[in-house]
Amino acid sequence: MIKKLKLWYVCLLWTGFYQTAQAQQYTGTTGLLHVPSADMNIEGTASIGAHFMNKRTTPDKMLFQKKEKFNTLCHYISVTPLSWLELSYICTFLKSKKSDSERTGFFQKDRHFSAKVRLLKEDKWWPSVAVGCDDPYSSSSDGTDVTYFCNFYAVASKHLVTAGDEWGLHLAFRKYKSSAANQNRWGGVVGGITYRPRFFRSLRVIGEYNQDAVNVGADCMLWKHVLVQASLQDGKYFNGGICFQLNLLGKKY
Amino acid sequence: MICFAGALVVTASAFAQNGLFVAHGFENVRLRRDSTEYVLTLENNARYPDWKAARIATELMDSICTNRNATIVFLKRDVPLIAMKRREGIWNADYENGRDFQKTRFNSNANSTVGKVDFFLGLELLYRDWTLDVMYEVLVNLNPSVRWHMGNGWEIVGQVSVPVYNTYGDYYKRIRPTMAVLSNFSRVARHDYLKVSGGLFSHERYGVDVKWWHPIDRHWMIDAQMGITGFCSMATDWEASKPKRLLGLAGVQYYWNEKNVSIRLSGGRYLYEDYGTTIDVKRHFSHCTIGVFGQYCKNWLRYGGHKSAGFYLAMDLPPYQQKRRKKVNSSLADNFRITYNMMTDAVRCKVYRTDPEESERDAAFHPAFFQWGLDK
Repeated sequence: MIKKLKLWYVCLLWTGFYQTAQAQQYTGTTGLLHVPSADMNIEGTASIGAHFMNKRTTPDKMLFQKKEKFNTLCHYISVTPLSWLELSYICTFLKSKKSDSERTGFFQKDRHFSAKVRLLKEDKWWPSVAVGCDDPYSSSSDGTDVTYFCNFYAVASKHLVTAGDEWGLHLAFRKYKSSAANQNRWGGVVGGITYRPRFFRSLRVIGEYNQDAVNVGADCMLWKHVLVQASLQDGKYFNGGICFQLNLLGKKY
Repeated sequence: MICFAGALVVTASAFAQNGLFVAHGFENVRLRRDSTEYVLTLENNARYPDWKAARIATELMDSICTNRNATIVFLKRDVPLIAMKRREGIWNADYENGRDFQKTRFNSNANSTVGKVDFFLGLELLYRDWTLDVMYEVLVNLNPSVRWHMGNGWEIVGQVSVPVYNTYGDYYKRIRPTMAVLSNFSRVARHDYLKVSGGLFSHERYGVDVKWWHPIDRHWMIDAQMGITGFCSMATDWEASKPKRLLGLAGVQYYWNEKNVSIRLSGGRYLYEDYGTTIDVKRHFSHCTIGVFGQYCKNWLRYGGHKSAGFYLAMDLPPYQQKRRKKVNSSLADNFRITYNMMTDAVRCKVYRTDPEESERDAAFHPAFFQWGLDK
């Protein structure tokens, strides 16, 4: 029994006992699963990764031939150049037909930026407060609005440590762009709870409410650089991803 | 006889101390010692990041000279660029270095760059998203290049592009020379640096280009660039036009020491006769630079206002320390850069490059010295 415990302990150390994970992976920035948080990555962190998005997670206006939703994959790079600023560039594959044939596949993509600015750093009494946006700007040449993810938010996060376990409380107000009104099912007051057990700090268990469903999931930092996240939207539909993180300033997570 | 023997000992000692710096990869090492001060010149062609070169050089100087003032003049193409001075045990960075440099002119030059030839191989990854149902069009080029250090600030560089993967089209499929430049870098006044280049530049331009930098203090710098160029390409056949296009840009740069962040606002007339402005914010990390930029330009003849933005990554390629003691050396190019531009095309807000290794990592301002020297 003691041997097993030792082995388990070694495994925990091997997977990066002291590494912490905190990603809203489908945007490449920190957050919960589908809800933003005011947590920030450590200054100098750069990430590159990919995330599988269930069709129930994609925006309602993201349709194949204007009628059918589809599962897709997004990939991103993100950076935290300053301790209070996160920037991310995300590319989401779009299902389409080749113009010169009947072939169907992921031939098109949506590109957008995300940004988050921390206004207030968390301390003993105060929560951290941040504002941010996803896909704020449409760059179509003919002037039509092609933003799929456009939303703006303000969010507060507070962490509490009890008996070595860390609990995080996150509350946000999110506003989707009016032209994406069909996505307003995710707008309004949203929030979630995170839990990081004292015996495995690289694991974070997440429960959140995004006005449309209750999502549950977890993320975990492995080998100091690899972050994996898996979640069930509405408790049923899988989303998940993986990313590689590196600190350009040599700071440790 | 005793004086002669003493001189021999001093000379041997100076050689040994020069060798200490050469062993770490520094070039153009000249050391002058007198009763009050040590003055050393050196050039960092060993691919250390600037902050690391400064740290190594100052630590070595501390190890050989403890009881006198010391000055290290960092050179670029054997031209004094910036100095670090130790007074009362504290190192500071300073642009006041011309007189110190002159003191060493008649001392022996260990590991001189003059006459050295460098062969280096660059990798170019270009991609574009112009076709609706093609995810990306990609062009990968290998760029073997050569650089001949001629001394007194003069250099000749040449580059050939060898396409290895090409979905851009037939125009890019041939092996062709893409750069051949003769340039001179000089210090024209106490705080003014000038680079004059002539030949075949990037973007299939040939002509003459002049760049000027003027650091005002440790936060601010102004710069300007002017060039007159014509089209010259060997992609399909020899094609050229008369050099009539005038480029003129001026900028001001602010350097935020604490975070190693520089902010540059520039504007003027770009390569293809469009007028506009660019704001560029970048942060230098140990081995890479990440930046974001925004642009606005207008060409009164061809199109109206054009806005764009994007980001870039420029990173040092290993090896991060290289000792170039032979006359002929070979390596990878010292950087790799990739840019994402939201609304780019072939003609808007373009500026040619005059050196195959030019990138956003190049800090004419040399902020790392200030960060290391003055603020820490």
